[in-house]
Amino acid sequence: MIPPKSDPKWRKLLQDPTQHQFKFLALKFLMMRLKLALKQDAGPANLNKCSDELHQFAVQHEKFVAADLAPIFGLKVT
Amino acid sequence: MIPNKLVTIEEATKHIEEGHALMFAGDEATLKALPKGQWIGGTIPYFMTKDGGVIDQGRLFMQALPKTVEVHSLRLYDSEQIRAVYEDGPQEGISFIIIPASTDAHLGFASEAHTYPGFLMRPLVGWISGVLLDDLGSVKPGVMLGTTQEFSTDKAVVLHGKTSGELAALVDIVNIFEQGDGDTITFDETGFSFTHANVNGERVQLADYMKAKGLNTQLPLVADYYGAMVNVSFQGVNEDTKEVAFYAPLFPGVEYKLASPISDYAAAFDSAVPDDAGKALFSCNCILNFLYAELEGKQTKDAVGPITFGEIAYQLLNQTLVYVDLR
Repeated sequence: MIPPKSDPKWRKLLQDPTQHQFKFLALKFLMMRLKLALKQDAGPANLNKCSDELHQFAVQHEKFVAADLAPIFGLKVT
Repeated sequence: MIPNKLVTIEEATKHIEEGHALMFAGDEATLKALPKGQWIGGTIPYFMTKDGGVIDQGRLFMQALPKTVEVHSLRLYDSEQIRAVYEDGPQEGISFIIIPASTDAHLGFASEAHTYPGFLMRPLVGWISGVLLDDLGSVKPGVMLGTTQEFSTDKAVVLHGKTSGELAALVDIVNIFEQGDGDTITFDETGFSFTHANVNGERVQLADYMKAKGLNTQLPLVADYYGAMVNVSFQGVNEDTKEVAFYAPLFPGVEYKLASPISDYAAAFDSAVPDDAGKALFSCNCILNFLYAELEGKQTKDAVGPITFGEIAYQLLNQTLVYVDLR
């Protein structure tokens, strides 16, 4: 179950300088794109926009992102 | 499932007439000999087979969609229409694209795909069509839409597939290159060719820098996309204008490093390609890997498919093996 977009961990993940070891290729590409966007504009509006995009992506691709996001959000992966 | 392999025109025709959804790679003449049907195709004479890499202008490499992937639509896209390629696919599915090399559709997709609506939301894989290297400049690469038998040298062709049930397409890559320990190179704007770059923050004339460093241009520049290594391959240097050309665009804000050297390419592929690569629904690899790794006659485990002028896994890649599984 993907956490709601209001979960602050979405923003925290985007702001985290540590690069997590993800396996899902599209998630890696998305993180790169969002982090580049935040490098250009780290303001709260853009952070919210990027966070919403990350959440929407995770919901769409739950099957493949759940394992990658599990340690960050404390998810149970079946 | 019909195995992905080299087939004769007669064998391909039989599968088309049986109503299978197919993707073909082959010489222009072989594509044009095929009957109408649910298929797309692109020109290329280089292939990786279970017996090793081959050059063949008489046969076609056929990749068949399994019954669990239905055809949603097949169409051509020009360089403007291609912006809709991600959104046109079904909600649950996988889209396959072939784009002729050096066209506006190719260069536009390469530079701007990340700005297209739906980028990364739906899987898109494919390749850049090409020609026999001896024919570069005299023969144009092309694609073909099987439903109409329209052959195009400037449009992309796409098959949008819909997955059924619980199955979803998983797109992944095999990149044998890693970032080396050398200089960090950045670029001020998006482009395929540059006279200048920033090396460790200092602006340099790129061609002079490459000469001074004795850079091996068979090694690509590599960017770290949050753990995914993404290559940009060197095309050449214009000695008059000092422009350095690449096979993919460089983007501002991205840090590139020259790849670490590889002593044994074939061994590197052997250890990097997954053991179950033969089960992949689709796979392709780069012509530069074919040449530099001398893959003619050599295998890359069971990963088989066209050897192409660029690979697509959501976006354009270079010197990379792309594959798709259904999970």
